[in-house]
Amino acid sequence: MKARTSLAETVAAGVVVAFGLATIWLSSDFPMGTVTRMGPGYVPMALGIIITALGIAIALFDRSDERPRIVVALKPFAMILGGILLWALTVDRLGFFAATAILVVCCAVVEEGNTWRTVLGLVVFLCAAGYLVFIEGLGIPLSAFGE
Amino acid sequence: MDLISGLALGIDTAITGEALLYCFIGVTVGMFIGVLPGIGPLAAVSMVLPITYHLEPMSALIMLAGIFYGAQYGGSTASILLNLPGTSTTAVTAIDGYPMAKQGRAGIALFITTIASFLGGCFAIVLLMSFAPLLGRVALRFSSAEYFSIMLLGLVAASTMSLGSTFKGLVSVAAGLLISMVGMDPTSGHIRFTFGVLELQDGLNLVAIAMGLFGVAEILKNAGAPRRDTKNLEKVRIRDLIPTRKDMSQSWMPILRGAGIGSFVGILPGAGPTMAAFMAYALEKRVARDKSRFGRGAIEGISAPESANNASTQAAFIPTLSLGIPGDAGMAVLLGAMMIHGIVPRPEFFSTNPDLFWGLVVSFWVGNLMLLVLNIPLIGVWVRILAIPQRLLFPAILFFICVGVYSINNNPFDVMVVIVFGIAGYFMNIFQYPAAPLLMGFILGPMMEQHFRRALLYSRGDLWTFVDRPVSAAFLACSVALMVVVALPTLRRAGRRSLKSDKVRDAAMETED
Repeated sequence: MKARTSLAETVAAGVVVAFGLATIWLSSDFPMGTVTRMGPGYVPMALGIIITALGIAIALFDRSDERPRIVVALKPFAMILGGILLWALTVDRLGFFAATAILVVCCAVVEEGNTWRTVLGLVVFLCAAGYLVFIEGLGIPLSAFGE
Repeated sequence: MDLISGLALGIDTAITGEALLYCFIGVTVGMFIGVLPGIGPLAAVSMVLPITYHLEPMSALIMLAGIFYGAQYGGSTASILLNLPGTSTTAVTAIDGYPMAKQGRAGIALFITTIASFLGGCFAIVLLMSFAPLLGRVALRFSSAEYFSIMLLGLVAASTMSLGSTFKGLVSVAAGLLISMVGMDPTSGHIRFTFGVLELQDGLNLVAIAMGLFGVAEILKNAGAPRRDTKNLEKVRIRDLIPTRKDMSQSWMPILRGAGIGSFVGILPGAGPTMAAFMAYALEKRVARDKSRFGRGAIEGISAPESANNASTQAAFIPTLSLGIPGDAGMAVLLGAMMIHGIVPRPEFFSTNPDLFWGLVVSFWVGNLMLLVLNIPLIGVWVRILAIPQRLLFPAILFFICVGVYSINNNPFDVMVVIVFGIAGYFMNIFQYPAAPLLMGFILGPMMEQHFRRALLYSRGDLWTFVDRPVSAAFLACSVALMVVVALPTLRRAGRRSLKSDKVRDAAMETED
């Protein structure tokens, strides 16, 4: 079977190696101890070495039969993560309702077929359900309209 | 405690209004999540986990467990009707289930898979009732050395037996172990890997990691994708469900074989229901007289794997409850949930908390019966749920993820953690690094470290203690053997070819758990 690793796979393995090296570097600040009396740096250091070695092994030896399809759909990616981030940043200041509206709008625009009616309906539904379940029901200290 | 008095105690605990209600909620949520493609039971359990903080431990466990086995029932619906696995564990059901639907036999396929799931589950629960307490008694003599070795075996098995590259699985486990060390080191009081962030001192939160890796990452992958084709969703009526006598007689043996394989695989560390279903399918194909029928709507091709995946989910509770060693990532999350409630499953569990064990067992019977009822008369409702558009579902799921994670510590910081792990999970998915071993490493890491230190304390720093104790040595030998065997690429290639067609393997890789 003829199978070669693609460039992207090698880059991914490189990220693994970098992650391992960073771990080694960070754990070298902690006391090592000995095998029988391990310091806080012992296990992280060992894991760092293992991860680095595995990363190198993947880059050199791993031959997958099929190449991964690397298509990052940028718009959904950014909008969804952005929506979650905005929710986290605004929920305390603007309140639960406003943050939820922002999140839902961000996520709904990337899906085809949504109209402003369906989005509005979804916002109202989730705000109401969330308010009843989490704030009234479970008593989570979230304020509906912010400070 | 013997079987009869145990069951009596279990009936007392599990047949109460409250327990029945949470059991019902659990299996319904599980069924719902199972039916919907794109979101698996792991994400569902972590979404519900914060809510269970507010419940009694018994109700919480009954509900969380219900989600797991409920999802095995629901997953086959999408596989059969849409050729899209509702959960990875039912991917193999699509091979013969979808052709059956195209031949107008969707109702029969749904009926058979429900019955198969039910019987497979029952078989494994009987095993659980009879063997878990026995295993617990044997394990009473385990010391820290044995526990360390068995956990190591679990982690090695989880990374090597997942489909795809062994190295990548091991990287995942190692990363999970590393991530579990963020925060204060319990032994030395040293603060590790917090980068000066105060919120990280208590360590990362299990729920936030699981939701990132299995919830957000899945949504990122499927977002903006063209709409699912739900046009050929046919109405399934109750009278379409009745199988012919031939269907039934062809299904008995496969269901039994599937239950056996599933229970065996479920008990093994590291091998979950996905693998059980694949193995059951492979076996049916091997013993069948006419192999050409497979892939064209062979009824054995759906009954065996469905029986196997549910048996495996139930049997996975055997090592989890009796040893406190989770066999797969799903059980690991459940174990994490138990520890949050202050219950540490270990051999003494059967004598200290008999009500919990037997209550859970009885709730499995009740839950499986509920699922039977939910499935057969109400099948039309579930088919309609399949038609819920993704454009409404995804924002709603993300909303529940945000609020759920926030509610753990009432702090938006954990939501940021979800984002980080969502991105990580997305790229791990693309490059086929399995995410489930990472979660297992994260949960088992601190326990392993504790047992490792304790074992060395008892042996006064003598590392040979792990090899001197025969049981521990056997587990270590298994771990080494697994790594050697699976790393031999020739063997893996051969296994790969016999097991699965590319498409199904893709589907299984995506949400492996």
